[in-house]
Amino acid sequence: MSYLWVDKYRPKTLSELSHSYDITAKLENLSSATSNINNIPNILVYGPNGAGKKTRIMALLNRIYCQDSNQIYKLKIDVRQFKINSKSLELNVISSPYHIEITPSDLGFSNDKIVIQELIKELGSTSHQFTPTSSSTTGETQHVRFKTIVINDANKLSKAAQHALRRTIEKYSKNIRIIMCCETLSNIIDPIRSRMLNVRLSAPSQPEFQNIVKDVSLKESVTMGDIFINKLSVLCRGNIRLGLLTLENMAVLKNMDLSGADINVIKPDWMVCIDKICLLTLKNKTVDTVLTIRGIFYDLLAHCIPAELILQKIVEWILENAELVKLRQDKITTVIYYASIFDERLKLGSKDIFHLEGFITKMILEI
Amino acid sequence: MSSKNLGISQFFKSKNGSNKSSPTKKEDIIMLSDSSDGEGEDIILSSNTSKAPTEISNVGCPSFNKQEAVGKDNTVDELVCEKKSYTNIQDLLNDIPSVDLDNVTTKVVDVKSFFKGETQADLSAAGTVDEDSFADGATDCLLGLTIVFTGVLPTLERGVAEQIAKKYGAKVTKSISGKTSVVVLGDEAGPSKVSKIKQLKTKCITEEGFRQLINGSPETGGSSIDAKKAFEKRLKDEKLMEAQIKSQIEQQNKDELLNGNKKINSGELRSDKQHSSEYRLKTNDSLKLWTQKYAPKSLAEVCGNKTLVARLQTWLSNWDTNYKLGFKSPGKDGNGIYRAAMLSGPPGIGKTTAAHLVAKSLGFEVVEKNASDVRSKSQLNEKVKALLGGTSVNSYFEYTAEELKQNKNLKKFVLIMDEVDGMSGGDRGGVGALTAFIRKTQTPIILICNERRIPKMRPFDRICLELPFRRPDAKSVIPRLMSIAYKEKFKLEPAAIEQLVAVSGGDIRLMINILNVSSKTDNQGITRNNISSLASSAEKDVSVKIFDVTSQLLSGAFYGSIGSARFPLWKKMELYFSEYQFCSLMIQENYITTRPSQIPAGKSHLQLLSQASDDISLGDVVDKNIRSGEQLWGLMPAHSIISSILPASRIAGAPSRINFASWLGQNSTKGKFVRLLQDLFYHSKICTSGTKTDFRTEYIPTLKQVLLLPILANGTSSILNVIETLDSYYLSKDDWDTIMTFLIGPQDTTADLKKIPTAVKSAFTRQYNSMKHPVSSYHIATAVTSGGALTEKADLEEAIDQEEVEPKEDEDYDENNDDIATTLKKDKLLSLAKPRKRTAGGAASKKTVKKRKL
Repeated sequence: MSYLWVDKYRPKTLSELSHSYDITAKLENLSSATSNINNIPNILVYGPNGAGKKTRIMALLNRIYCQDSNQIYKLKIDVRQFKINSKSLELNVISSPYHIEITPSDLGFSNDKIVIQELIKELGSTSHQFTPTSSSTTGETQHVRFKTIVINDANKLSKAAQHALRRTIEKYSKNIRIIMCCETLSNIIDPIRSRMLNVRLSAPSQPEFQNIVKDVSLKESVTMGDIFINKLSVLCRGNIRLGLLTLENMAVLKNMDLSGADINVIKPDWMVCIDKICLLTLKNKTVDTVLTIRGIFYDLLAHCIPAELILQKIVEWILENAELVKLRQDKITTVIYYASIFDERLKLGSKDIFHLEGFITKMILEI
Repeated sequence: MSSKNLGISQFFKSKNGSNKSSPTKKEDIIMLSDSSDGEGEDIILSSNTSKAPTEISNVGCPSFNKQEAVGKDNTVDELVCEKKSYTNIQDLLNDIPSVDLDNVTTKVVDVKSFFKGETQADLSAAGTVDEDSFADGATDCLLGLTIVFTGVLPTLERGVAEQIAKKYGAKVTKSISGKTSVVVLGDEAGPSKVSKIKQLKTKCITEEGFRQLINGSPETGGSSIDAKKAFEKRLKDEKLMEAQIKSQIEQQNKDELLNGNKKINSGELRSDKQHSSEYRLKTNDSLKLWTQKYAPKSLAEVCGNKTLVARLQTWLSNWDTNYKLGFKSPGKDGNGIYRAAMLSGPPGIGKTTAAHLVAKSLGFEVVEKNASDVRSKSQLNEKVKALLGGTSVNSYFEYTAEELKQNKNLKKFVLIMDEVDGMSGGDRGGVGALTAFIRKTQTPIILICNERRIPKMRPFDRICLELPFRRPDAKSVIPRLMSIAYKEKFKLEPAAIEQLVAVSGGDIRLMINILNVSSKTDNQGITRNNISSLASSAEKDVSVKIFDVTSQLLSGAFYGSIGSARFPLWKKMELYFSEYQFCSLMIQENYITTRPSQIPAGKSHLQLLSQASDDISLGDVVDKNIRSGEQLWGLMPAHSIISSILPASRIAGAPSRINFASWLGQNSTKGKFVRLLQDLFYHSKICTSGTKTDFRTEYIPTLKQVLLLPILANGTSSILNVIETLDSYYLSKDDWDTIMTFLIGPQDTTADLKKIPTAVKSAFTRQYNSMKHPVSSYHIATAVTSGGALTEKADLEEAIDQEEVEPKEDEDYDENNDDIATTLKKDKLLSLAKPRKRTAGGAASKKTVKKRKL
């Protein structure tokens, strides 16, 4: 098996997790053999990208169902079909014998409700019983009487779908548990939040992040200097996934030697493009610049970089480089002001490029 | 009012003076012959003849004598000038104040001091003026003048002004030359034009001057030489036209007579039924639409495109000879290699008629298939294919044996495929089938279409004789329409026809239809006075194209106090609604490249741009409310303003070349990549973490590096490693290609991909195809989707394969993966994941078990 390092060294059990130990401890308590395992609440995990939300959820399930015997990682993907008004929709369902993982937002904003109505109810109306496979525990083994449904991208659920979920969660709580996973709570309605155990998983601290990266580079025998790891942690902002992927990217490129003093971290292709946009807006305050930037925007959007992310990265760039390009404080405030206006427009409207262009012309004008 | 202008008018006089004597004589002769010929000739011509006497009476008018006195007095002020009646237009022209060219505002130079006050005063007083209320001059009072309009006139729209000028007999041109007699100068005239005026010292007047010119000018331009010359020329033209009309009418009468006789003669030879039906159609001519009734009945009657029709005729007549030569020799005119001809051109110019007439004139039997027939591949094969080698049976009934012997064509078909560009939708494979027919047909085929250049018509390239029909010009249309008018006892002025041609865009059928309609609704016929109203009613039916909508909305002349008065908001909204789906997209596409004509004080182009893009962004929010969720279509008017008119008004000026909205293309590219990403994401989902976006933003750059760099660096030796990585992530070779297309900017992989030697590439493909690969996703049996059938089949086959190999595979597993392997075995679906080579030995043994699919 030749996985990328990020997948190769992903923790599989709760004990292997390497940061946010307090949360790990709570999860361990929840699923420990002493408590009633069928009392586990529905959980809503949220936190920044690459902090290990999914890893933690899977480790938890591994503990609940398999007593850390890794059976939960025997996954397969089914394609489920739904029919709406003679239009048939397909949903990829990742499943193990113990749980299923779905991303209802794949079906689009107007159709995700059907997943709740059909799939979850279907699972909820049959009873399940799993016997944890471990043999090490003494005494009687507890049967797990529920199947778990992991909902990815929960913040992208439409309001209709979320309302459909409210009662479903309670009604079928005997047979199913729901674990929702998302980056931000802002789109999730209060009734759902109140039915869930909200777990905020923050990104690892700088030392924690560096330890993880160092650990992996040691295992893969990559030589690495402090300069590199500092630059890497600046780029990744605690995103472990990005950190490990960039590490491997660089290692492949530089023949496993990242110790040079003048080493520069390669940014992902799209971030390079965003840097270019920012530089253009600062340097050439002309109408032609808008036209050039439109081309880059179109390129980014066509290659699946979400407009919100573009906006976010532009603002981050300005914040990071404000001193470098000698931006006054009030100008930064203006950028953030306009970014928030057009971020809202992105949500309210449908054609991303219109709003990005609106933002960038304001930015060229104001800073 | 300077001495310069006097100089010019004198220059004109002296220049033309030498010709003066001879034309006047001619004029007399023509007028004489006119009246003698015209009597009882037709109704239309009587209007001409009636004009002639008034002309003569004018000559005798005492006002003529004042000419000299007025001509000398150049300093009379305007008030006086209006009261006088001029006999010579040049004199009047001299009296009208010239524009001070140094104070004229041009588009770029922003000096408004001269015109600003005047235009606004005018606006409040008069508002916009239409053609009729502008001025009331004598008939043909501007005859002989060549007028150029430039810039924005205070009250008149450019088009209206030109129409007025034409109505009074002036010649309107777009560019200034030595022949230009007067320039009507408005606001924001082009700087190049102004300099040209200065250079040529052409007389320059304002709109007010133009009004005076019309009001004051004598009928038919008075006694000025230019006017006379023009008047003679017109009379000559009319005379010529008259002769043409007459000959055409005679020709038609003859034809009818001939046809009638022929029919009576050949009546017995024909089958009774056909004959009687045809006869009945003939007798009920008055019931027919004019377009049918006056459709050309012989080749000579076809309007315009004479050479093309002749080419078609020679091609068709030589078809048999060329057929025998196997279409190898191009022949004298180069047409000998074509088995089919393609007539293309706008509607209503006689393509179908020409094709039918040519076939008829050469004695071919016509089989026509048009858009009303189903023309799919199967239908064509079934119904048309058989025709292509056959002979006509009809001919045996219709013609005598001698006739058939003389003209072998009579036994032949010609296949006319009309409206070929309309083959679509239901006509699946029709175009392909037709091209196949053309390559081997034994029967001539004539194809007819409107749009030759669309991609759908590309298969016909180089296998057809191309005959692009053009719109006939006014000259070739006039005799035809006049003859129709004559026959229907309908009043039509030749001068009006020119406008009719312009309105209909050269569409003869439309012109005849307009005549037909107005003959029923309008008793007075079509004259130059009511043509503009007719024209505007006909024009409204022509939809405005999206490119015109965009360029109009973005042009500066439509905004500001002058523009808005002439082109109010509701008209702009009307423009939006003529293309409501694309309008906002087009504005968004083109607003950046538009150079604003008016930048308010204290603002920059960039500020205007930013405001405009802000509006466009807001417009999109409205758009979403309209199109999704609650479908608030009532917001459309608001959308029209926010998304199109408001941003356009901010930036309006000189739009550069209007581009088509690239959003549409970009959006579909995006759709494609989203699908590709979804596939990639779910193929590898079992082993990766994060959302789809994370996969794109974080995984793909690294995956690309890991999958591409070894191949670039080590070539063939690294292929196995790369394939192993692909297999670990359940990715296929296609996915490998897909990943490479995702990167943008400096890390774009196209250059790198080109660096891979072809040998390595093909080795990669060969190696990949020779191995078995795990698949992660499984379609439930009921799930049959497009393209899914293939993968499903592959799944099954591999699944069976795996089960066969399964027992001996178990030993190959590593210790640490054993736990996974045991459960893998239990799960039939996941057993697919097994044939991965954990050890070198296992890999070697596996590779020998090769299975190639077709």
